[in-house]
Amino acid sequence: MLPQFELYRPTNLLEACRLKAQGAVVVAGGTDVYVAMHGGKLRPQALVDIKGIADMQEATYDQNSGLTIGALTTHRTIEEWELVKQKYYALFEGCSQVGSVQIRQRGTIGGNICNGAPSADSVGPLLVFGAECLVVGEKGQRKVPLAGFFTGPKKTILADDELLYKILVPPPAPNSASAYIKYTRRRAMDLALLGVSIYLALDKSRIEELRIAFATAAPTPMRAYQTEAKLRGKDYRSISLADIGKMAAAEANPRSSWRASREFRLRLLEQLVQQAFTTALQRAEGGDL
Amino acid sequence: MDLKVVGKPVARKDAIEKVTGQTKFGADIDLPGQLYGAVCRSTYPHATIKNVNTEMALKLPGVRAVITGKDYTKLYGQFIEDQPVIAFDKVRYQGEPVALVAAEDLLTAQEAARLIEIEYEPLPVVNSIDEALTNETLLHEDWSKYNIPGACHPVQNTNIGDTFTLRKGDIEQGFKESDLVVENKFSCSMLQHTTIETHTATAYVNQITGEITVYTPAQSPFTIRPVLAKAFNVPLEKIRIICTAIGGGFGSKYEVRAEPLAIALALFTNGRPVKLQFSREEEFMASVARAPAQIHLKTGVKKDGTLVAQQVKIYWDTGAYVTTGPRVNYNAGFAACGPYKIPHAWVDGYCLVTNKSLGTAYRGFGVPEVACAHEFQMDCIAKELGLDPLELRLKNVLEEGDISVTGEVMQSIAVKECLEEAAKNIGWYDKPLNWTTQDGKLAGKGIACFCKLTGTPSTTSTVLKLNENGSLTIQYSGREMGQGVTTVIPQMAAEALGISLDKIHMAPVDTAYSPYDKTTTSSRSTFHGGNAVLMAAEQIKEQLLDLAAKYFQVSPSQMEYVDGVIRCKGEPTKAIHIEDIEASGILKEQPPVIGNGTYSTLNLYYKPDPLTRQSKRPTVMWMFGAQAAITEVDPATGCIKLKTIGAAHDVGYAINPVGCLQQIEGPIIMGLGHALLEEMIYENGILRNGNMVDYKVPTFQDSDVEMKITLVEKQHPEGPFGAKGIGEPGICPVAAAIVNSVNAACEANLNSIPIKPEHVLFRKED
Amino acid sequence: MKTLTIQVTVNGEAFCKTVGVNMTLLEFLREELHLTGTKLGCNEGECGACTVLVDGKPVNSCLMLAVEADGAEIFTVEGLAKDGTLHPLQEAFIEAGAVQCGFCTPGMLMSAKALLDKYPKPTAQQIRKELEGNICRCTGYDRIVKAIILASEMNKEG
Repeated sequence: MLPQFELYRPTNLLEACRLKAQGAVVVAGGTDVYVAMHGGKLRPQALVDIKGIADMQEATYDQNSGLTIGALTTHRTIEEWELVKQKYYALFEGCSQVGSVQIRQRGTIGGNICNGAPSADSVGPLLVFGAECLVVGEKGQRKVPLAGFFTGPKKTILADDELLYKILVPPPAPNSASAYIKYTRRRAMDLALLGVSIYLALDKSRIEELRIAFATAAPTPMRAYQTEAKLRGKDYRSISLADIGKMAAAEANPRSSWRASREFRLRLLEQLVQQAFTTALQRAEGGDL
Repeated sequence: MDLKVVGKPVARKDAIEKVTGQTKFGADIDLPGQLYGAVCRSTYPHATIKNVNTEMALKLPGVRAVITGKDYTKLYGQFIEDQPVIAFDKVRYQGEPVALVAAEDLLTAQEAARLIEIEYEPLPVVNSIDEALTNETLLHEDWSKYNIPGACHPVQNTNIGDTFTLRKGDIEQGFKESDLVVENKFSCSMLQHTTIETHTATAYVNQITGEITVYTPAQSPFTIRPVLAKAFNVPLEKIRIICTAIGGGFGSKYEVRAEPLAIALALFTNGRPVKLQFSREEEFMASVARAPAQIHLKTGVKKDGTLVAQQVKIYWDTGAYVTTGPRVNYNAGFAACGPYKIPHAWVDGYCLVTNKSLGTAYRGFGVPEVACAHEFQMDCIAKELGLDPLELRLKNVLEEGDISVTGEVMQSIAVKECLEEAAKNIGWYDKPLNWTTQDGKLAGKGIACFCKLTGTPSTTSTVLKLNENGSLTIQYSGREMGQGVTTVIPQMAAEALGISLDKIHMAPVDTAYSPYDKTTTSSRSTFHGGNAVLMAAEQIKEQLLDLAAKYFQVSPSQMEYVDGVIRCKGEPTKAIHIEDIEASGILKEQPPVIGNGTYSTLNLYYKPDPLTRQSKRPTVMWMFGAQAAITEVDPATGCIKLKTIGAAHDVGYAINPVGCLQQIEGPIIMGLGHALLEEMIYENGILRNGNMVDYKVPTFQDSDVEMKITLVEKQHPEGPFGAKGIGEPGICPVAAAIVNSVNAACEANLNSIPIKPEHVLFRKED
Repeated sequence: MKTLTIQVTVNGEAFCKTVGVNMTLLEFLREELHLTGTKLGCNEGECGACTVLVDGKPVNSCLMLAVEADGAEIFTVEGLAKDGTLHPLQEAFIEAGAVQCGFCTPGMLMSAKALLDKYPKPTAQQIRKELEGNICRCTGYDRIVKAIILASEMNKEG
């Protein structure tokens, strides 16, 4: 049974911020919070359930500004959203591989981000699409690049009174494609032992834009900026896949744990980067994604 | 004889209840006035308990009882009484019960358990077989202080809780006569059964009479009844076990687990029932597990592949207490050399205690582990000699009239057919050992076979009661846990008596009135229960013939019972069909028609010599089977995908063919988990992955495996309709076949399970 | 707040109950309504035994508060058979041999119901994907896949 707590269900954003500032634990889908509470690892005095805040549920697309995803949007909504499949395929791949249907039905993209887990499936794809976070606190709101959102394992830049309100994802270039490869021991219901996200925009064979992000390759989700910079503007035919893999893996800093060793993760990362790159390339050239 | 009900695929009799959610499992029992139990568990894997302070817990409103090890210091155990109900002097594994709470609601009980303060003095932790073998730290300082009610052989001043030996021929001579001697080691990880239903018990105690009643999803009520009676110091008849439906057994519900805890609390609640349900975390940390195993093999073989000698040493890490380790050790010891003709064979098995959860009964009782080892060894030999793995096996397998390593002349043995059929099922003969697929994957094939005995001697009784309308109630204590026993037993009764299957019902199992059955393990229920039911059916027939003879005014010898018709020989008008028995009136005001059947294997059994294990008949039923696997490995990522399993199992005679297939398909996927995914990871006695994300049982997505299964029917002379058991065989060769196929695919010698991508990738760099 | 009065419809029947906010939907169904068909397997959203439909969508009832179901329509295994007739999924599970110990079955049926509502003629691949959150330890899953396809062919769904 869940230990006792006081439950608040504000419908107003600022009220939620105030409760959070007072120490209430924020709960959205509950797929992480209630697991931790069942296991006795989390024993909050108070919970603030933010699902009553209507505009945090909204998710829209505009061809100029791209996606505006309310933090309460569920993984299932993203998974079933045809537009996401058309324009943000890696995000579809990420969200559709979170937990199970039951978990995706409840779990939210905001929760996935705010947990600050290095393995978060939605974060890598959002990073490569250049997502920004709209953060709201008692004193107002601010816009933060998602890449700057994480400060350590399970740690984010959110102040005590702040909530992640919306996620803004710019529209992808017309000649672009993306891919997310999730590596797990088991083929479902598993956490990413590693994840590689790639966004690739081409001008014929020239790499106009390339963004690479990793899950579980460092204490936080991360971008491989140096590799991106080195390859930007290059003709992809002039680069060896193996080099891309090596270069990108060199930027990672995975740890050894009982789940897997650092050397295994690094070795695997080289391969997964190649696979993700090839997949994105095929999709870009195919022109369909 | 033309069989009408057996041999046909029939829908399970328990299915409607199950698909409508009506089946009552352990946690579905709620009794009036019931309290809820919670367990305060050790956070240390090995420590002396200095002090237990329950003051705070007792103050919490709603708490009705808090008890500690000091309140109950009796030890229990089926084979050796080494385990306290609640730890009192020291704790020997993380999660061991240190105090128990009963309260008005579950949350209060859990909160109170948290408030119990325990002062520990940590002791050095024994985390592995190797550490246990040094005997530097002894978990049980003095084995001789324990009562040993079962077959258990601990070694004083060591961590060895049981030993097993098998001796045939002269092993050194055998190696001398060999052209090639191959030595290898194989290890298997610790596994958790991961039944979806966790351990649960609800108990109450009559404070005046001392009678104890417990509701539990127990697999073997008659095995745990004497254990509980001794643990709680009451005569046997004062323990009543009311069995609930079992939400997955696989051996995990063979030991007592939640029962003694619920009972211990109920002793202190003034007659109020106490319900105790393990959380998933408790299930992983402190219920039961499959013991990790290390198996060393040394095999001597002639150039042509003829096996000459095999020496096997098996080390089981049975965790903090011995529990059923000795039986695993025994069963696996008999199977450790595989179903092969080997003139010189030695086996030594050791159960070692460590500061981990309890390694005990798990589907197959040690045979899947030793099958991994001996089948890995066979492939290594085949490779050394340049022989086809299947050919090497066929050359050496036991056949009719051959002598086993335990000195038995083998009969009704179909392992050769199983190997051939399993091979055919994956197209073995058309494929090389390994190849590269079009998309660059490394593919390989592997095959494995095994032998497994059923526990002997044992006894099963049944009572068949004919109701007034010709329907039949069967009292039989073999427990339904998904394997289908409550379908095959009625099928056999239906066949024997000509009663339609839907008029036959299984009574619930309750030690207060159900007849004795030793245990629902060892794949024994179809064989033993079936024989007992057929014997009971004969009594029903006799009684009906007598009644009908009286009615027709003829002598009973003129009567016969054919296909459910009770008739007078040669007089077609003098006949009553069992369906019309009520209308016939022959049962009216007559004694009840009740048949008893008891099947015991005591008279068939020759007790094996305690050192050599030689015996004319150590078991009433050997089970055999083989499986072949095709696996693909991604050389870039190390990912392993099981593509196909071809299986062939000798079921003797398939009473319910669909049930037999279910008992092979399920284990194939379970075995896939064992081979590639599952392991309990301990670091210094602390379980790292005690949840269902980190302990990875196969999901739908992992299980897309092509399965081709052949039921081989070599009828067993003593089996009911020739049937044998199939509850465990399905699991025995799966992991072994997968390991061999992976090793073939990547030309490796990976010798531990689970095989992880990591192992595959880094082997490449060797 | 620590307790709350909620109104829910379960299998078509309306209930109004005051519950603690810390009560999960699973506990509400099993302990308050005595609908014990829905099972507790892990309390961590990893086994799917507690799956029920909330407004038609499958959720793990162990990871949802009862108060979150206020105003919702809940559907559990007890609601599948109607007027003494089994639902096609139930029939198909029996016919295909998709039931063994039966503990995962109620949750499995609920996920299967949601799947068929979404994909009336599902492929084996869709079934494996949509049911990935339901663990079965007995069957090896194959017969469950076949049962769902069989139910979809019975064409009586809904």
